[in-house]
Amino acid sequence: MLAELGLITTFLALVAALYAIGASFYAGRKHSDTVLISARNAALLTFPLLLTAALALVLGLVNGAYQMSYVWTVSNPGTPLFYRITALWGSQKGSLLFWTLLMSLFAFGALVFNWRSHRRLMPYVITYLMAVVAFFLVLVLFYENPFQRWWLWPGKDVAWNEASLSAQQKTSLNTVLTDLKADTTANIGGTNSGVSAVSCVDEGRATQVRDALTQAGITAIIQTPYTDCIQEATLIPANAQAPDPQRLAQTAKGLNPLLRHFGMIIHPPMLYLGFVGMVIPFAFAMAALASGDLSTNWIKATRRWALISWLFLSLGLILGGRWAYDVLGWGGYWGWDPVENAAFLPWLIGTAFLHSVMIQEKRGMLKMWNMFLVIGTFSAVIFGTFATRSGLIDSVHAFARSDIGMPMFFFWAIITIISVGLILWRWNRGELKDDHTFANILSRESLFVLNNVIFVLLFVAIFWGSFGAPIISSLFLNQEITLGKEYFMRVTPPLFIALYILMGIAPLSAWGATSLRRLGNALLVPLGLTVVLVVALAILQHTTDPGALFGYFITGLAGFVAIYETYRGAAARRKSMGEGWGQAVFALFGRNRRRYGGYLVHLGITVIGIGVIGSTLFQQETQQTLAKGQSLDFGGYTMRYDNFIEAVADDGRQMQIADVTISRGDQTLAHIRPRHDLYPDQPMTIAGSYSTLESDFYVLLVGWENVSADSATFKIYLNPLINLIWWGGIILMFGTFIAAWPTEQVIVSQLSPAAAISRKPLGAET
Amino acid sequence: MTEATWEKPQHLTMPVTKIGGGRYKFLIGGLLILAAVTYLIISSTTAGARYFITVKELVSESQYAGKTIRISGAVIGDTIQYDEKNLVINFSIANIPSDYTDLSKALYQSVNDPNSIRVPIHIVGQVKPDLLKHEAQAILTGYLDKNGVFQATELLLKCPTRFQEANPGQSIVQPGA
Repeated sequence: MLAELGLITTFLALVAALYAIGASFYAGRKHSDTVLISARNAALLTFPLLLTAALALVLGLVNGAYQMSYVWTVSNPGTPLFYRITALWGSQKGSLLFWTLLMSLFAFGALVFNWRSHRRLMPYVITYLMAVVAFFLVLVLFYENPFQRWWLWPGKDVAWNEASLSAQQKTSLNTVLTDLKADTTANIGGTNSGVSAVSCVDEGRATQVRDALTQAGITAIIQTPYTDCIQEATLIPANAQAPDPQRLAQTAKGLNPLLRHFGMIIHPPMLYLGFVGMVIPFAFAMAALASGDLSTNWIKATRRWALISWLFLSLGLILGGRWAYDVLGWGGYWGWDPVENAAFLPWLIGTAFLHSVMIQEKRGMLKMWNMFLVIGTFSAVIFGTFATRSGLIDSVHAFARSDIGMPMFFFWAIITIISVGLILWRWNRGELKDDHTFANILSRESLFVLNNVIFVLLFVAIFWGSFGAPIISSLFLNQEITLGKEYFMRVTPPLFIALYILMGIAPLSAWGATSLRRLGNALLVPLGLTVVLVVALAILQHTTDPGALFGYFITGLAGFVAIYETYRGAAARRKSMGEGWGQAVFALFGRNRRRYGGYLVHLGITVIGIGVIGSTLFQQETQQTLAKGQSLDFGGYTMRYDNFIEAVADDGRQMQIADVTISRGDQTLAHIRPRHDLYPDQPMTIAGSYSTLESDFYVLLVGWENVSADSATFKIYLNPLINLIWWGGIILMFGTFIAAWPTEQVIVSQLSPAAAISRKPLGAET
Repeated sequence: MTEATWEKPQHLTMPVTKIGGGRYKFLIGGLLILAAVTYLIISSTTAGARYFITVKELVSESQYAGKTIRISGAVIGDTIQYDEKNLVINFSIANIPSDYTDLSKALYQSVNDPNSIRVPIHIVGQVKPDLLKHEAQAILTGYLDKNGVFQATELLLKCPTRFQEANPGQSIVQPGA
């Protein structure tokens, strides 16, 4: 039932999306409001339909409907309820459905909130949004269908006696089977009987294989298999019957234990929200190009959507890092793996976009550039999805190779070509000319442009390292060349440094032109504070390493500029309005959410930057075997191995836990429990750590001697300042919330002549 | 449809048509940045480039001996030896043919083919990853030493166990079997 419900609603959603594409395009051409409203309603409908489909899948997961092959793949009777629900995005098929659901949710939101204020753009917005939704629905329905079920069906085996074959016959057997692309199952019917077979094929195929073998001089017979054949199918195959779910349940493996972590549960939805959210700015930009309304309307409509997506993308990246740090047990959080980079690439372009749209809004410049950025962001989202889900790139992240590679690649190529074509067409008609030109290098707009250039170059460098070099080398040199961590560790730091420097200077510069003197004066106090910070960090870490101190300096400066600018604003309000500090800061953020929210984001990025520098340059590691009661000194801490416990968790996994005490001097700081979980198929090492703002004392239980574990081996990492990364993430989140919080009334501008209709109750004219 | 009215008055800023000497400054600056970053990318590419080859190529082509490269292979479970006190891992990987379509199937075939080409791996200083097990795909960075042992510095693992999981197994689902 659930599978049918899911299938039907997904299919209806595709029909609705296709109708919306046609109707909205027609409405845009003919300026028909009736058709447009109909198109919008169809577009809105995709969300409840997909929600129903996703709920059907979730219900299947919760109820253990193991006949659904997706349920069978990602859960088993031992899976707790929470992980059953989150298994919706636990594997490729479900996550594609989930992804499409989120996309239709964003489309729903944009069509509801921006409907009145941006009527002129709406027809094409609907067309583009629904085109993307429809494409993903095609993938869900025809390539990666989560509603497929297991079916038992009466197939045939073609069997022969392998043991009696001569060497020459074996060779011809292999040739025949390879030509037919037929797989064999050896030793059918018990070990050592020497019987091999091509099993579970339909009659026609069986005859074909037998005849080919006969021709090659091998005697083969068609027989009924000892057991029924099982196959995965969306629709009921002929003569098939449903298998017993109870028996299926016994073979289900359950969710990969590595994914049973808080960070892994919310990291994918966050990333997906960040990814799919970028469809809104993209659709509005394309609508602007298609409709010819090239004012800042599309930017105003989508700024908030872009910010929200950016926030989710940022959180997704940070949570992914946190998961890797907690679960993978290598003491790091970012490995420059292609899949990680694929998520980082849209973030880079998206960040550039968020900055450069300000210039278009304030100064009417960079119109074409912004179009390229918004399209580049979405294009990077689709490319990243394609690259990671199709198995194009060998990565540690275990997405299986899949058939969706080709369609995704073509979709990506088509949207990119159409987008760029539209931009060039409008540009050629002179409709993307800037209102102003750049006058002075030391102006805010110039510094913003520089920031954009650096972001894009960073994008290019990371893209080249992750995808460009491997793909081009295997295409043209017939030899795959990959770029390892060394590449990224060399190429990215100079560019990040440039970005932090700009983050320190740009907020102090003025539109138009800034004098060096003014800039210098504004920098004085932040510079002073930064020097104090750098000295403090140098003392804390006992370092005189110039690279590290320089890193702390430029990141710190960017943060202090943000803080000091906020302070100055509040101080001015205090003076002019006579407000108290709290009131002044509150009013300041309220008055100019975007600006001060942005400063808070800058502060968050600074804190993250300091954490990254500290944990990358000053990580220490050691390993040692300790007897019970024995201690070791490391990084200023003392660690004592106290005890060893074996326990069984609720879900049946065995846990081996080491009790460890961390102390400093005479003071006991914490008891931590690094452990080893044994899932049926898979051991999992879970680190114990003592976290302070200063560092993480991160302990892995590596091994233990005999059952009583009189001695155990530990690997220990000291990760200085790493917690700043997570704290910076929280600051960044608050800053983005403030910047994205709605303030102004919806501006009803650029109404189409027929816009008055929209003020009538909807549906009045349908 | 006019431009939004909140735009700053035109006279405050330079009109588009005027092309001053400032433009060249931007152009030169931009070219300098571009040149610097291009150099950065090229030099880092040279430093970080690793041939990504198969076990077969590593063993049969002498040009790769001693060079830092990346290889990928299927882990043979029986060969995994782990000295946890000194953090030494030894195991062997089998060649995965480069033209596979289904990775999990290719891994399964590689480990079960007694004739597949294998190479021993030696890694020091790394905790045995949880994913290091039979039929996992190992992606390693390192070099082949004179004794034919691959001295690895980096080990990544991937376990697409779909092949085994993808089918519940016929004997179990057969009612009454």
